[in-house]
Amino acid sequence: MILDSMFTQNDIIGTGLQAAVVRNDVISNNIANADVPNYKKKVVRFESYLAGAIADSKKTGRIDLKNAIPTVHLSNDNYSYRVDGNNVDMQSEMVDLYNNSVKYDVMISGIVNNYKRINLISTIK
Amino acid sequence: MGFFHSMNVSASGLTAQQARMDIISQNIANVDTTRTEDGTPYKRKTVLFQERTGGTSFSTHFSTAMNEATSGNGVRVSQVVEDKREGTKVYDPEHPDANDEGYVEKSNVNIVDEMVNMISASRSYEANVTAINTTKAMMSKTLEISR
Repeated sequence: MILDSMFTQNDIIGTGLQAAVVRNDVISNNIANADVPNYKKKVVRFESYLAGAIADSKKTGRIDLKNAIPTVHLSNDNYSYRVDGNNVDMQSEMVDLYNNSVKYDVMISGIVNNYKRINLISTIK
Repeated sequence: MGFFHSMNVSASGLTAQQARMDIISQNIANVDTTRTEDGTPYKRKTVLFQERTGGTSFSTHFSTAMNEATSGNGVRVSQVVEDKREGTKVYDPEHPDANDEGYVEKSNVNIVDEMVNMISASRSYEANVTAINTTKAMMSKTLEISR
């Protein structure tokens, strides 16, 4: 990827972090509302927007993260057999919660290593 | 938004499940009550949950229509309803609460139903606690960037 500054990669990871925070919020809301009749679960869309921004950056050489913001949508998927109209599946929400927190940890490690690498450059005598 | 909003959402889930547990405990304690303050047998109560939304502003209705959503504000107990079905009638003419034909109407609490609801409330409470722990771990991890 062509980067226009040392810090661009951290900006990209930063948008991923923001999406992970929104996703954690949405999953917590789904878990809290798992007993509400006729509640439809919410999902977060972000990865497709980021992939679009990265694909565009290959043409111009610079990345524009203006449109890579997470959005919240209602999901009408219904893989559960509940009679009260609620389509939250507790197992998949818990798994998503855990996966999201692991991805968050990985992204944090990426940012920390990037800053260490930049720090190393600044110690060259 | 941020992490504190996630904490509030999960805390609202804890509060709602706690209220549900209170009502279940009340039902179980009153399983044999044949006379309440107004003379009738005890009728079991249940809680109704509703999603707590951001309000009735135009932007919330508009985003619902466009199938987008805001990420919600958790859950709340909207009301406590009484179950008005009749309890079983038992023939016992010596009982102080017997009616003219000698039948005593028991409360309409079914212990098995209450136990199942109790297990469900307990599991939902645990799931909300797990969500809070996950949010807390993410918050701690964030502080490592500047270490």
